[in-house]
Amino acid sequence: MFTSSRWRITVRALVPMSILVSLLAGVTTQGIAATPTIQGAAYGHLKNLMSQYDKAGFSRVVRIGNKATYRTTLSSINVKVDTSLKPLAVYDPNTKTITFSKDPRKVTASESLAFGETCWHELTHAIEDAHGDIGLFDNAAYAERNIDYMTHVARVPLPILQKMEKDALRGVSAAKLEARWRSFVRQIAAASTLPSNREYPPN
Amino acid sequence: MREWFGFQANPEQIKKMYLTNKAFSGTKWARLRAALKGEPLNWTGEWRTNWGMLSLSRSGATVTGAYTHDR
Ligand SMILES: [Zn+2]
Repeated sequence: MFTSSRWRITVRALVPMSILVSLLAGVTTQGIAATPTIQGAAYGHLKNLMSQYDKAGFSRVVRIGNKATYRTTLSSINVKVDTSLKPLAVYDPNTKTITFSKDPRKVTASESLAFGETCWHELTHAIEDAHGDIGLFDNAAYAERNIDYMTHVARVPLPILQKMEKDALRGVSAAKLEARWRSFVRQIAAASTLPSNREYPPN
Repeated sequence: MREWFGFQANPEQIKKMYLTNKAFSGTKWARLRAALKGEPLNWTGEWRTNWGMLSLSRSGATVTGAYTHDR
């Protein structure tokens, strides 16, 4: 069965027509309820990234960050879009602004995790800045030491651990599970040998 | 400093969780627990070999075997 309902808004003469027109223009250009803000859309992608291991058994003791910390940081800084920007995004400690090269509202579902990683990356710099860690101004290796480490862990060893759990549930042999575990441990150790981390260990 | 981010991925802590958290105490996780404990693999039982049937049993870290030699 299909039902439809009709509705109608009666605008009484109290609102002058010019104001009404500008209000409606605001609705269409900024898309108030229909589309989220840049911040809101960016948060959606960030959340996808930060929740990617939530269902894994190891999520009891592993996390790539505190979601609340990242969420509050995102809402406390400025965000804007500049499609002429060369990097994916930048954080400017002087203006407390993250500039994205792509509008987060135009990021598709298949691009969401990658975009979420970009948000995570820049927000990590914003959190460092909020703690007075001003390495961003002078040395790239120093500035990237923490996020390089965390990105490697999120991209390489954690998926291995995830495979190990799936294998365990499939009844794979203990020897194979042990091999997975060893490669996980090896990849965690490898994070400390990244170029920025050889110069400046994450701290 | 990583406490600033709430980042946490420590192999020792993860291993301890697999071995002690009750979420992983069931039989479906037994092989993983064995793998992480570095226990000898379970070879106990009856094995058919070139020299007849071999039976293996384990007590702690020691595996003992007996086989029937038929010629
Ligand atoms: Zn960076």
